[in-house]
Formats: sequence, structure tokens, C-alpha cells
Amino acid sequence: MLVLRRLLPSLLLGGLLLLVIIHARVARADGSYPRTVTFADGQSIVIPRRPQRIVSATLVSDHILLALVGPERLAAVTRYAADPSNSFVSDLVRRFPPTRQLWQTEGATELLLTWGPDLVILASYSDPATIAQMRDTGIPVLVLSHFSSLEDVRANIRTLGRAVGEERKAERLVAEMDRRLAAVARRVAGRPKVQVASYTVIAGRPFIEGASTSFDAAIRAAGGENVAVTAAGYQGPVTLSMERLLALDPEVILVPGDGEESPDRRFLLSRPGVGGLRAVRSGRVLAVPSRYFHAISHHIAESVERFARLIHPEAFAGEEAP
Amino acid sequence: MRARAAGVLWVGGFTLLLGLFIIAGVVLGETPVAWADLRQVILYAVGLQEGPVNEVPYAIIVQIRLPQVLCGALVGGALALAGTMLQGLFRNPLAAPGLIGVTAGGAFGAVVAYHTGLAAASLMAVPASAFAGALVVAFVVYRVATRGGETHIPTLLLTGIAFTALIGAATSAVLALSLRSWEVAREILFWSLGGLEDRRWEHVLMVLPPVVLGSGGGLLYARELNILTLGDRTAATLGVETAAVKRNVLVLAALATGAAVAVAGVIGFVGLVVPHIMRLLVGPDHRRLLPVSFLGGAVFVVGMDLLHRTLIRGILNAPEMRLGVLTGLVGAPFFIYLLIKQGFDGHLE
Repeated sequence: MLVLRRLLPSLLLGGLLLLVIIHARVARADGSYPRTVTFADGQSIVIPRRPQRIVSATLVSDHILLALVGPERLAAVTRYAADPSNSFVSDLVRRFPPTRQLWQTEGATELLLTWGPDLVILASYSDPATIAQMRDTGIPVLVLSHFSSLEDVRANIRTLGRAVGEERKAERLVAEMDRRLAAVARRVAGRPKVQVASYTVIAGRPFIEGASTSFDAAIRAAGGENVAVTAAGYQGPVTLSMERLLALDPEVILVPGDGEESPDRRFLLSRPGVGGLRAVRSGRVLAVPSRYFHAISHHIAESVERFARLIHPEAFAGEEAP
Repeated sequence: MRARAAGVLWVGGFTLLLGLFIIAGVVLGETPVAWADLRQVILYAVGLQEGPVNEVPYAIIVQIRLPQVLCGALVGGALALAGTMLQGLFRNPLAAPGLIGVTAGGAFGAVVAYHTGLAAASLMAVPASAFAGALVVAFVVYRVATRGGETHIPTLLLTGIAFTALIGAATSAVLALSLRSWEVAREILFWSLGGLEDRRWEHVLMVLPPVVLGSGGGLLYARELNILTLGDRTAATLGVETAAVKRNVLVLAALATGAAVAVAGVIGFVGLVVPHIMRLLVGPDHRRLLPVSFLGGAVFVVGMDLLHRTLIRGILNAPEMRLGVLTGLVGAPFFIYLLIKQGFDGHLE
């Protein structure tokens, strides 16, 4: 008893110290380096310090990192992010001088190095030689590799958050995205699934987005059924014949572009037999700026909202579009 | 007399075959059309039944499949016939329509149309520009290889190779300049794979006159081509105006090939190997060989397109595959089989 009483101050002190240490560790969770970051494909890298000069060489990391760290800690971004038809962050990216915007990863190793990066974000579709060369330099290189589902989007946000030391912001970004997705899901719950197809003209040839595309993920989340998957079993974006489109005969066709002026919409409407499509007869060939088709960052929530308003207008009746 | 009868038989047989393939190409496709619809549309189209007809099957058969099949027949026929003419003219089994720079010129024309944005302005901009590119390059090749009105065949061959390399480099340059816009880069890739998707009546009408002119004109030179295989000098002593014949055969072949390239891009194999297959079947006499080559090329491309639409796109559900790939994948092994089985060594006599 006496022993215990004598030890009590020490125990209390020790306990207090322990609490302080635990608290400090928790508080420093966003800041402790070096740290290991594991990618979606199982590979991992060690990042020695909290990155301050990040080079983002993919459109998706441009979007996510601008939300997580802002322009200040980005040494360079892609030029695609400056184009409003591809990008949700073109205003922010226009502040980067052209000399800090990347066109392509082919042969770009030297350029990337001139920016003096302490973290480089590439993707599985980046030039393999550039990826290998950048890895050889010893600078941490993070290679994103999965982009087609909502879960991929969440995983990429978290991976990038951990890499740049902004786990909490990353969680908040994911939570905000999920909140918006849930809001759409509530609106469209119980309504019949609308049969939707995408129609994109690339190099004079029509393409449709099949399974494992961000379009497919967004359409399903928006209360639609992507007929390219459910009726044709297409995987990825594939060329589409008019004959097949007539057979699929979706209720709504989404084309990239701006309203009546969408060249893809005009292309579709000039095809022979187009009058046989339900979507054409009911005036539901709808143009959406192309960034909504290919959003693979948290902005996919905006795609889902946009698509949901177009395919289930009745669910949003009497509301102003954002 | 017997040879003549055999010739008529071959031409008749291939015409019949082509007719069957065209019908099959219209009746079958990527998606099934109900027999009742098919019957109604066909009767309506030939004027045996009053309208109205179901809009969708009518569009599929009359506006989608029929122009595509006819384009395929014209393109295949033109390429094979031009190949036969050039192999005869060059006295070289490796001669193909691409040899006189037509294909490279066509690709260049198409790429320029995309790069300058002309392609977005009009549906016919790409084929028209490709056609112009094909003819211009062929003309330049011919001019460079012709001295004092006489075309030296080995010089023509080398000039063709040199210009194909030059124009190919120019095409690559435009490609490199436009790499930043995915569209042009992809178009060049598509072009190099060739295809007949979404060909319309406008394309049929565009390709028809040059192909008819080139092929019809080419058929008139069967006798001269026969004599030319004996050598320029012998041909001249036999009363053949070699300079004029060479020029005219080249112009006609360029016309037909240019039109084919303009509407279908680069469809490999047909112009090189179909002539050899036909030569194995009917012999080297151009009077028989030229028409059979046209028909054989047409049958081959219509057949491959049918295979592409029904088996590859329809049943195997692989819409990424391209016609130009299929012609090589199916045609080349068949040709290798013939080489082994017949001990064929490419002799043109």
C-alpha cells in the first residue's frame, strides 16, 4: 500500500507522459516521414520527406492534388488540366506558366527533372521508359493504375493523400464525394433504371463506353443502365456501328459537347437510320461537356449529379441546376 | 476456243459468287434482322411492295449494309485489278498498288485533312483529300521515272519506293506535329488498319466512277500486258506502243487504287496476293486474269467484311478488330498454303 502510494506520483506522471506521446503521434500522423506508400497494384515506395515540389504528370492527379495541397506545393501539372473541356480545375491550372505544364510523358524525363521534384506522380498509361528512368533517379515515383470504379477513385485519393501527408484532407474529400453520391442515390432510388449509352466520335469514328470505364461507374451511380454493358457486353471504350446502336436502342444517348452545337451530336444525327432511335425521336440525345465523361477524380460526383439530372429530370423537378 | 470457254466459265463463276456474297453481306450482319422485316424491306426496295416499311430494318439493310458491301466490292476489285495490272507491267511478282506511291499519298492526304481541320468541316473531306494525295504522288512518281517519253520500269520501281519513303516520312511529320491532339494520331492508326465501317452511299458514289473508269480501262489493256511480259523490245516489234501503254496502265491503276484508298484506308494484302491466287486459278493470260482478279478481289473483301461483321463483331463481340487486319490474318495463311501445296514461285508467265 505504502509502496503504491509512493509510486503514485510516478505512475501518474508516466501515464500523463504516455498520453502526451500518444497524442503527439496522432497529431503528427499527417506529418511523419519517411513513410511507405503502397499502390493499388501492390508496389510500394518510400517517401523520405513531406513533398513540397510535386510534379503531377497525370490529369487525375492534377485534380486530386489541387484539392489536397493546392497549387503551392505543385511544381508542375499537365497541360490537359488547363483545357476546360477535359478539366474541372482549368481556372487553377491557368495560373501555372506554360513552362510548368506537361504535354506528354514520352521523352519527358529531362523536363521532369528540371522542375526539381521531390515526388512525381505518373500513371500506368504513362510512357514506360519515362517511368523507368524516373525510378532510376531515386526520386519517389508514384504510379497510379486503377481508374474505372468509384472504389478506384477513393483509393487513389487516399494513396495520394498519404503520399503528400494530407490523409485527413483526403478522407474529407472522399467523405464529401460519398455524401454527394448518396444524395443522388436517394433521389433516384426506386425509380426505373434508364437505359443509357454514350456516343463519342474519335477520329471520325463513333465509340461507346463499355464496362470498366468511369462513364459506366457514373451512369450506374446516377440511376442509369449502361446498355453497352448490359445488352452488348462491351469492355472499355469500343468502336460502335450504327447497326449495333439501332439494336441497343437506348432511351438516352449522352454525347460530349455543348448543347446543340456538339459536333458529336451532329455526327450522330447525320447517320443513316438515326430516326429509328428512341432517343432521337424523344429528343433525348443530350450533350454534356466531355470532362464529365472522363472524370476519374472526386469530381466524378459532379458527373453523377449531372448525368442523374439528365436521365431522371423528374427526380430533380423544380430545382435549379448547380 | 477451249481457253475462251474456260475464261467465260471463270468470269461467270466469279460473278455468281460475288452476287451471292453481296446478298449474304446485306442479309447477314452484326445484329439479326427478322426474316419478315428483311422480306418486306427487299420487296419495298425493288418496288414490288408499297410502303411504309419498318424504319430500323430499312435503314440497316438499305442505308447501312448495302453501301458498305458495295464499297467493299469496289475497293477489293479495284485493289486486286490494279495489283494485277502493275505486276504485269513491272513483270515483278512483288508489285502491289502501293508501289507507285498511291497508298502513301492517300494516307498523307487523309492525315493533312485531319491536321488542318478540313475533316471536321465535311464528311467527304478525308476521302477527297486522300484521293487527291494518291493521284498527285502517283503522277510525280511517273514524271520522275519518265525520260524522253520512255518509262524505264526499274527506275519507276525505285522512284516508287523512294517516294513512298518520302511521303511516309512527311505523314509521320504531320503525325508528330499533331500528337498533341489525339484525334489525328488515332486517325493515322485507324487509316493504317483500314476499314469499311459506316461507309455510306456518298462513298459509293464517290468511288464508283474512278473504279469503273480505272478497271474498265484496265481491261482494255489485257492484250498489251500479255505482250509486255515478253519484254519492252519484243513488245515494240510486235506493234505495241510501249510508252503509251505504260502511261495509261499506270494512270488507270492509280485511279482505281486511289479511289479504294480514299474510302477504305489501307487494306493490305488484297492488291498483292489476290492477283497471285487468281493467276494460280486461271493462268497468266491477262484477258482472263484481269476480270477474274477484279471479281476475286471483290469477293475476298466482301467476304472478309462479312466475316468481320458477323463473326468478329457479332458473335465474338470484338468490335476493336479491323477489316484490314483480318484480310492479312486470313488471306496470308491461305496464300502460304498455296505456296507450299503448289510449289508456286511467283512466276508471271
